[in-house]
Amino acid sequence: MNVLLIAASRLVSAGPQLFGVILVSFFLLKLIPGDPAPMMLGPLATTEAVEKLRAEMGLDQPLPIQFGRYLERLAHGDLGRSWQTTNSVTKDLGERLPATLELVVLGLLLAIVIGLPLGLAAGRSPFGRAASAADLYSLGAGAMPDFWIALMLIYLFYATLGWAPAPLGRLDIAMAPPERITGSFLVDALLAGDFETARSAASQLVLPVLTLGFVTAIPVLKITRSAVAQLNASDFVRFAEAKGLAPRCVSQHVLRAALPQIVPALGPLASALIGGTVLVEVVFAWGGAGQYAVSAVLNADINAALGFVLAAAVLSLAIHLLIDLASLALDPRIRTA
Amino acid sequence: MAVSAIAADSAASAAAPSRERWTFLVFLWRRPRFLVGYALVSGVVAIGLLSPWLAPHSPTDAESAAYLLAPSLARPMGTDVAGLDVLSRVIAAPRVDVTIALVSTCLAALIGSGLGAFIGLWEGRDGLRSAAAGFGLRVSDVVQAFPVFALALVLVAVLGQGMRSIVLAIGVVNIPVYLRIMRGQTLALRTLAYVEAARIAGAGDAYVLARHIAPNAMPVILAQMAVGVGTAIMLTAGLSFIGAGVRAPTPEWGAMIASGFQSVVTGQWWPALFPGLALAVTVLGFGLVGASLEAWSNPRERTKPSRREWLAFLARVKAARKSA
Repeated sequence: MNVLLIAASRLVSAGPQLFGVILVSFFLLKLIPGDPAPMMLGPLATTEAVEKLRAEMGLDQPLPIQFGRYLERLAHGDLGRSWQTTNSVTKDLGERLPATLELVVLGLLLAIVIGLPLGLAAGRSPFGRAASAADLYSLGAGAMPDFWIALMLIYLFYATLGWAPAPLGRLDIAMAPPERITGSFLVDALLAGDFETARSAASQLVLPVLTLGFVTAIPVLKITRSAVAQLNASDFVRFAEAKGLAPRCVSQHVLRAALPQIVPALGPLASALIGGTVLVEVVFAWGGAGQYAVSAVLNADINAALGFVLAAAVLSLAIHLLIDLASLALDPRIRTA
Repeated sequence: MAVSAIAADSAASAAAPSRERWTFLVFLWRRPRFLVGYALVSGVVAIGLLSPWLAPHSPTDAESAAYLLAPSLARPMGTDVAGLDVLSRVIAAPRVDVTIALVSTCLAALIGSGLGAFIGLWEGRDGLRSAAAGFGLRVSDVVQAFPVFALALVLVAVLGQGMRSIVLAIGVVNIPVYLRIMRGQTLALRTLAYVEAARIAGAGDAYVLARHIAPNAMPVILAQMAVGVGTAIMLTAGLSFIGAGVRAPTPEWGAMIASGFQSVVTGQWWPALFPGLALAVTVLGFGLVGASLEAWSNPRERTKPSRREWLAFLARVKAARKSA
């Protein structure tokens, strides 16, 4: 009952929010100078041909009418056509979003693996070694741009040691992508039982995921640390300590009690990562949705850029819903309320 | 660890019973880590200002004969693919990066905290003002719904490439940050007894803001600004890295890393390593300055013992136990 209620309230509030995001992005993107029609036809096109194409694309209409038409097509599930790739935006995003999501999911997992234990240890003993390490890590790693870290990893593991494959996309150039099921090469290859392809996909993933995990671990670390530090002074911790429980054991109790605070903070982090992987995608020539959006913005490819914004908004909505449900499972206070 | 929290308080009072009103300098002196931040920031600014006299070569004129030279005594950081001296460019870059970051941060802080203060004051007041405050908050929500980097990129695309566009774009995307902080501060401050007393005595919005709210919220805003300068530098570098930032020969760290990209893949590390290091050191410096201001603005943090004092206290307790 409660679950349905939460899901329903999310969906109801999502409507106006999505509309606002589309409205703002449409008019903002329309402000980008550059007319797609002459760019599509090339420098040799005649004025008449350009005018004809503009009329076909509806570019000769006033902006509010163009917006109305966009919404109308959107209602039919049509995101329009990207003039750069000449494919429909739905198809383009379908190919590229799984690539980005692969990075986001694995990067976030790595961030949790690094950030959670370090944050827990640092929060438990504010003057211990772990606290100093956490300070050093969050200040030091937080000062480095992710694309630079990625380059340094490439230098170390590809150019010098030769352990990592060339940073040129999601698969070895000589390999064919596996049959498409989920869109993630790693998962699809494993499902198809093609372990050689899976190995190649995994080895291409290592460096970008390391970069993202390394950088994203900082907020995870900070959130965990402050949540744990707050609990340190609570009665149940004092009781556990007075009872003589081993510090390890007390830490486990504290972590469980801190989870309802930590998990909701991961939602905004995940949605920020969807737009935030762009630079890492560029470095590794990943061909993900972020890279697609950047080239769309820089080339006045409105349909493609709007499609990405919309997809990111819908995804972040789904993430928030997921986080809500997880909170419900983790925090009995919400369940009974 | 409640016990340690209590002990930390007593350690603070034991370490400094007479120094109730610490000056900022003493506060910094007891936390050498923060001093490092101030040293880094002033060092970077000084080097940037003096770079025309310090640079051994021109930061913008390429010598095609000096193509991708490895670091040597004559060229400590080598040269890049265009034959530009990396050292000369690295030390000239603060002029662009730090300037963009400082101006855009000031812009965002001025507009954001101004709006935030009025929104905080007007929230829950009579109809029109409350509605205006609510509208302001909604707009800021919509701006924050977009990923920061993507929004900055779109704004640069709209405004056209150039330094002024980058400053404006980074400024605009950061306005909601200051708006939120200042609104929170104002909401907390406006219920305090002395602010209400001023109200009853007939003080208007402008007076309350200038006399009571602004001075009290200042340290928090300043702390955010110092951190904000660091993130603005990263954002500038990121924009330049994908080619939406400053134009080609201008010395800028992000653009330099981008131009060193291909060299890194083929094994020449120097054109990308040094600008990244310079950027990291600068951002680290501003981050430490921000952390010091944040600790200073929070009375609990301000009087907390440093790690060294805490360890000394523990040692004393241990010694006392042993002798007892």
